[in-house]
Amino acid sequence: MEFFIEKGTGLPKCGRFAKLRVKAANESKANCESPNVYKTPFCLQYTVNGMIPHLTRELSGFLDDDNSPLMVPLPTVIMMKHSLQKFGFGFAKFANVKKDRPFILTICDPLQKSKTGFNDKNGVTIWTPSGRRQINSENFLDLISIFKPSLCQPLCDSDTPMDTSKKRLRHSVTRTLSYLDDCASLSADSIFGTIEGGYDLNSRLFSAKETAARKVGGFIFDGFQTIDNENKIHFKIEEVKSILKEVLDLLPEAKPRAMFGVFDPETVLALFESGIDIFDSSYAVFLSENGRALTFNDKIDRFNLKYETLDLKSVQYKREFTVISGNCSCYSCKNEFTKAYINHLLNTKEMLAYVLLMLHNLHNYFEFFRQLRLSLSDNI
Amino acid sequence: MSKPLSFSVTAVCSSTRARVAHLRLKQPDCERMVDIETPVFMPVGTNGTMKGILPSQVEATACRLMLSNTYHLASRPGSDVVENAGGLHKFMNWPHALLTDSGGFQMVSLSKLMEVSEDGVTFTSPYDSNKMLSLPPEKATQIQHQIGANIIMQLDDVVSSTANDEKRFKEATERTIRWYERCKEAHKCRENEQNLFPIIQGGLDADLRRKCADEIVARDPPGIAIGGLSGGEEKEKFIRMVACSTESLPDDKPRYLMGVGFAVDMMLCVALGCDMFDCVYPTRTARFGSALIEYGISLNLKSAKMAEDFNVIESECNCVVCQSGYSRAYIHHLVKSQNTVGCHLLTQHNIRFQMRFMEKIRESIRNQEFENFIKKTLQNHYSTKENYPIWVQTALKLLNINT
Repeated sequence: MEFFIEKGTGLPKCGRFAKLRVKAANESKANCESPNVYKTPFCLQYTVNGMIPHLTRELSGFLDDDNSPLMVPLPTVIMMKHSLQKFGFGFAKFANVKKDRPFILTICDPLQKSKTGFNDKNGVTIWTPSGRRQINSENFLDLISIFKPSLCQPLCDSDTPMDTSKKRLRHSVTRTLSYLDDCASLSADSIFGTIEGGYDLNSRLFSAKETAARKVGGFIFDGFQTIDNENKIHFKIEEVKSILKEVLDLLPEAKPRAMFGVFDPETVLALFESGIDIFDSSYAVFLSENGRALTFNDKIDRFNLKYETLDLKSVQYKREFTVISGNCSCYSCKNEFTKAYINHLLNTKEMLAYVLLMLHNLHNYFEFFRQLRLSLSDNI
Repeated sequence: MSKPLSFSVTAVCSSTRARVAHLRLKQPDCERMVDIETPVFMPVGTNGTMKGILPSQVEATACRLMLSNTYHLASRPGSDVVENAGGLHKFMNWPHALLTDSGGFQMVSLSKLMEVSEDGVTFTSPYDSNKMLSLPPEKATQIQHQIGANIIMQLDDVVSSTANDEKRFKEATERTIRWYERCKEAHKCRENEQNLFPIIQGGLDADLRRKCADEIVARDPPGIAIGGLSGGEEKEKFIRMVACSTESLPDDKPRYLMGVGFAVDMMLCVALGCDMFDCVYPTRTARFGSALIEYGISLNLKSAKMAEDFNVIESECNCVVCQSGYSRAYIHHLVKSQNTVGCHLLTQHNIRFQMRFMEKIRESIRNQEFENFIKKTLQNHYSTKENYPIWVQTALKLLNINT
C-alpha cells in the first residue's frame, strides 16, 4: 500500500484527505495488476466468512461501494484454514471474491461480543463459532501464507475494556509490539501496526511511539469499543477524541490511520475530524440486524449532519406503503419495497428483511463517506 | 375480456398419462398474462417472500408461479394489510403468478384447538390463545380475494391421511364438496380475475376419491387439486390414490397435486397425469445445508468431506450459484458457520434444480422419451432394480413400464 496526503493536514477540525493505493493481490512483484486507488476518508466493506452479511456476491454487485477493500475478520474465517491449505490459491479466490478487490485480514471483529480475560503470554484468543482458539505469532504467519491477504493486521491483544488495570494495559501494549516484531518477515507496506492502551493516555502514547518506530504501512487504533452481552456498544467518543489529539502527533503524517467499530455518521465525522482515515461498514450491519434503516435528509451535509434511524419493527409502519426514503437510490427503495413490507418481514423473522435493509443501509453509509470526501472540493 | 386461466395441452406421452401443457394465467385486475409450462413445480414462499431470495432472483430460476400461505398471511400482516398494499403481487413485488392455499391445512397442523363443523373451521388464534377464530368457507374465499393470488383454493375439510376412521373420511369428503359449492358461490364476484380450484379428498379410499372427483368435475372448475395426500401415509397407498384420482379427470384442465416435491415422486405423479406440484422440501432442505443434484439426489454440504471439495455444486447446473463458481468447500464453511448467505445460495440452487428437473421432464415428454427418463432417474436414485421401493414398483406396474 501507498498513501498520499492531498489536503487538510494541520487545519483544525477538518481531518485529512488522502489517497491510498492498494494492490489486490500480495503475490509476487511479477504481478503487474494495477493497484486500486481509494480516496480517504473511506470505509472498508465489513464481511463475515468473506461475505457481506446477508448478501450474495450477485447482490453486493448492486452496491455502489467503490470496490472498497473487504475487511475479513480472522475469527470469521480461521476455520477455513485447512480447506485453504489444500486449495492453495489464497482466500480471495476461495471465497469467490472479485479479482481486483483487495482484502485486509484483521484480528479484530467490530461486531463480535467482547469476552475478557482470555489472552495470555501464550497467545491471543480468537472466538470462532465452534469455540475458542489461541494463536501465537508462528500460527499467525502460517495463516498469512495460507490466506494471502492484500493487507493485514498482525496479531494484537486488544482486550482492554474501560476498567482495565494498568498491568493488563501494559501486557496488551508490550505483547502487541512483540507480535508486530514477530512479523518482520512480512512486507512493511502490507501491515498495519495496532496501537493499544485502552482509555489510558500514557499507555496509548507509549504504544503509538513504539509502533511508529517500527516498519509498518499504517496504523489501527484498537481496544476502544466493546460490545456487551445485551449487544450494547460501549465507546466514549469524547475520551477517544482527546486521546487521539495527543497520540496522532507521534505518528508520521504520511501513513493511514484506521479505527474499526460500529460508528454512526456523527461519530465517523468526529473521528475523521480527529484524523482517522479508514473505517468499516459494521455499523450498517448492526443497524440492519436490529431492523433499523438509516435515512439522511435530502442532501448529506457534513457541516449540518441530519440523519435518523427508523425502527422498522415498529407497528407504526404496518400500513406505510412507501419506500424507506423517497430520495434514496438503493436497490430496495428503487425497486419499491415498502416500509410495510419490511415491517412484515421483520415481524415474521424472514431473512429477506435483512437483505433489503443491508442493501439500503450500506448504500447510505457509503454515500455518506462519498459526500464526506466531496465536501473537500466544496469547503476547503 | 380474457379468461383468468387457459390451459392447452401441447404434447402427450405415448406410454404414460403424462402431458405437457401451456397454462396461461391472467394477472388479477389487469390484462397482463403470465405464461407457464406444465408440468410445473411451485416453490413455497410462506410469508409472501421466498426465504431470503429477492423476487428478481426467484425470477432468474425461471420460476413464474409460486405459492404463499393464506393462514400465515392472514395472521401476519393480515389480509386487510395485503389488500391495502394492492394485493400480494404488489406487496411482495412479484410480477408473475401466485397461488394461495385456503389455510385449512395449517389450521389442522398448527392450531392447538381446532373444531370442524358444517359451518366451517373454528380454531385458536396463533397469537392469542384466548381468542377463537372461525373460518367458514365463504370467509376463506374472501380472505384469498383480499390477498389476490391468480389461483386460490377452496376450504377443505382436512383429515390426517394417517387417521383410521372411515366414517370421518366419508363425512370430510362429502363436506368438502359442499364447501366447494359455498366457496364457488362466494367467488362469483371475482371469477373473472382469480381462479378457484376445488380439492379432491377421499382419504385412502379409492371409491370415495373417484366419487369425489366425479362430483367435482361435474361442477366445471378451472382446475382441480388432489389433496389429503403426502401427509405421512404409506407411499404405496399414496401412489395408488394419485392414480385413481387422476383417472377420472378431464384432459383439458390442470391437475394440481398438493404437497409433493421430491424428484422421484413428482416424476411418477407426472406419469400418472399430474401437472402442478408444490412442496417446502427444496427450500427447507437448502436451509438445512443440502443441495439437490443429478436426478434429485441430496448432497449434504455440511459433511466433513465437502471441506476439501473445490467443485461447484453441480457442473451442469446453470443456476447463478454454480455459474458464479462458488465451491462446495466454501459453501460448506458458510453453512457450518450458519451464515444466511449459505442458505440463500442453496435456496437459489435448489429452486433452479426443481425448475430444471421439470424442464427435463417436459423435454422428454415432448420427445417421447419420458419412459427412458423415468428409468434413468430411478437408476440414479436406487442404482439397481432390486433396490426400487415397493411403491415405485407399484407405480411402474400401474404405468405398465417394464424396467
